[in-house]
Amino acid sequence: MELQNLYIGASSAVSVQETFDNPNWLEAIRPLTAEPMKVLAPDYKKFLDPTATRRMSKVLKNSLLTARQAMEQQGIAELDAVITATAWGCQEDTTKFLDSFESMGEELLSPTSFIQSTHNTIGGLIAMSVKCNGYNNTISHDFMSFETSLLDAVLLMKENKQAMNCYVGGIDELTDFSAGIFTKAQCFNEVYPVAEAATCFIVHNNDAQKKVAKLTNITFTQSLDQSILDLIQKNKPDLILSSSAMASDVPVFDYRTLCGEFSTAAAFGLYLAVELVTKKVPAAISRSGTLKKIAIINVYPESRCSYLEIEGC
Amino acid sequence: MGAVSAIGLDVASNYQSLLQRRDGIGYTEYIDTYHKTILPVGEVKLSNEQLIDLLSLDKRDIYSRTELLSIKAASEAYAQARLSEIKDRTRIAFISGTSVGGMDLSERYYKGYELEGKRELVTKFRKHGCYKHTESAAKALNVQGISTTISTACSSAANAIIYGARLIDAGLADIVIAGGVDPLSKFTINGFNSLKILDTEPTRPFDDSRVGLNLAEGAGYVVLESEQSMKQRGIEPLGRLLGYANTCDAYHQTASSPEGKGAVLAMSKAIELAGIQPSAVDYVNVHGTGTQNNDLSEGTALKTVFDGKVPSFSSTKSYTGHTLGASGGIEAAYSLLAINNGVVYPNLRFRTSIADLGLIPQQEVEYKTVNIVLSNSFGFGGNNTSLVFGR
Repeated sequence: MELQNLYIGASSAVSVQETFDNPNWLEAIRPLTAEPMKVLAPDYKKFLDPTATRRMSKVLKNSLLTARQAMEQQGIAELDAVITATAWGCQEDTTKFLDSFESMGEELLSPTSFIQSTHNTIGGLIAMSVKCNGYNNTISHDFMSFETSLLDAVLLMKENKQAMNCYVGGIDELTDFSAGIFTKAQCFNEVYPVAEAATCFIVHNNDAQKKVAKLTNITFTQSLDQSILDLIQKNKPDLILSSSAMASDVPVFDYRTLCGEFSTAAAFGLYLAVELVTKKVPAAISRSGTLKKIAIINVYPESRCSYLEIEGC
Repeated sequence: MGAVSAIGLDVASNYQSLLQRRDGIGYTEYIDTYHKTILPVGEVKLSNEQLIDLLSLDKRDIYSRTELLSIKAASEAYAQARLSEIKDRTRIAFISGTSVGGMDLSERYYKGYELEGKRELVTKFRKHGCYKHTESAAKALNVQGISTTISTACSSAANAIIYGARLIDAGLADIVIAGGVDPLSKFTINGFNSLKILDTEPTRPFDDSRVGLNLAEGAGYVVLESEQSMKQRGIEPLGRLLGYANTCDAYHQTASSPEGKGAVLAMSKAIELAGIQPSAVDYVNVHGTGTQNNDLSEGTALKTVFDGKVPSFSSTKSYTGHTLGASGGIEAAYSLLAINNGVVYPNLRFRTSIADLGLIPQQEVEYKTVNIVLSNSFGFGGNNTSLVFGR
């Protein structure tokens, strides 16, 4: 679906790269390790009230931090909608609660980890922190969580004709426990280490507001079929960011070489795309120097194919 | 539409139970929990093995109860809407909501991962995610359009219905199977029990003496279809989704604000989108969990939205228990039944109005013209959703 008048106004990421609060991270890319990789934790005390966040898991802190930073960049104090994509949800609290009744029996359990275990804890928390009474949705659909969340934002803005600032986040948390299972179960491609990130965007439809990229296309198909190849042919992106091999003349860069492998990695793919259309492009990613139009294409074994496209402003 | 709950394995039997005041609250037969003789639940009266048989699924595979309940209810909706006749399968989407996904498998197997063989482990692990039941049901019904899974706790299914409606509006699908599912699990029983909001007796929504909810399981789906597609196929609609709204209370992770801010917003915005006056609503299928907090907050919100003149309302959770992420789907089916049969259902076990509210829910089965139904689904995280169904 071709899109008009839809923009990414700001973005923020806590990832295995030094993305958080560091505009120059692309100049010092960190190599991935062979082991599962956790995010580079920001100095939480510097940004968050320690008493208010004392009981929060890492994923909740990272989500709050990135949401705040993106809003700051956008220059807004309020949100009109909060849409959160998370495939694994709040792993730490889920495991903690499972462990508590497995080890201590089913009486006198503390509710804290249960309360913080639901997938929509993240979106609820962000809404509470900025008092957003607007649209609030959480999508958990494996590899397609992020793309179908972005679609949710697009459809919401198509329906509400007025100007809106919409938070769209792609968040997944890796714990020692889940890293063990993922590795053992070979859930992911073994080329890259399993990892995690909290990435978010302010998506809006206000031409007069600050914008870093235009969102120009979002398309879903059953597989990497002719319609996607035709789309590439027609729109001629300068670069394709993809986790899959692509039969195309357009150069392809696998963004997982930077962020590792996890179900909402596509959010990092979009984050990288925004960085590449706004900053000097490292030669390791593309020799073009500058990039104007980037497509993020993913083909997933069980959950189909997605095509996202952005253009620099 | 399709529904499976503690009061019936299909829509027709759910409807009969509603008319005959037959609730499905009792002790669990299938979950090995300390609370099995203490906390009554709303359990679907079929074991996983029986569901596998009933659905003619491959017995060698491993299924979460979530998948089985989802396929059961979605298949019923699919058959009623004659979706087998649709040639272009990519024009059908499947959007499902769930709170805990395959948690019944997670809690059974997570300790044993160390011991399992690798192949077994992969299969089991892949079934745990929220998304898995959606993909399984979509595959079982050969649905090839967009599919995704919403997880906004107890409003999941209602939000799936909104997502589906928007897909059709945007021209990304002609038909959407939308709703939700949740299984009973040790995880949720213990979770809600740790919050001290489970009743040891059958729940009494909107009663002054209410102390909590009965946790339950089930699945409910409706088939949404564009007007054009229905005309082409010569299908008569069961009703129209007139309006919807998703808002956030942004007050507390598990409790509702005393004035029901998010609830007021959800109901009024849905009514506004429907293009009707609040007074046009004939029946409200309330969220009505039977907890102190929800019913007081929702009742206050109802009085605000309807300016003191609250229409007939009842909580069908007094029959089914609280099916969490499935409730919006099951109650969408109940709403459509109310419209098509001209009937409103009683709120079981009500005796005395909540002191601060003075609201009296529907107490008897009453046959009357029902043109418009408002259905509420409110969840953890302040996720409030209201749907408006019309004739």
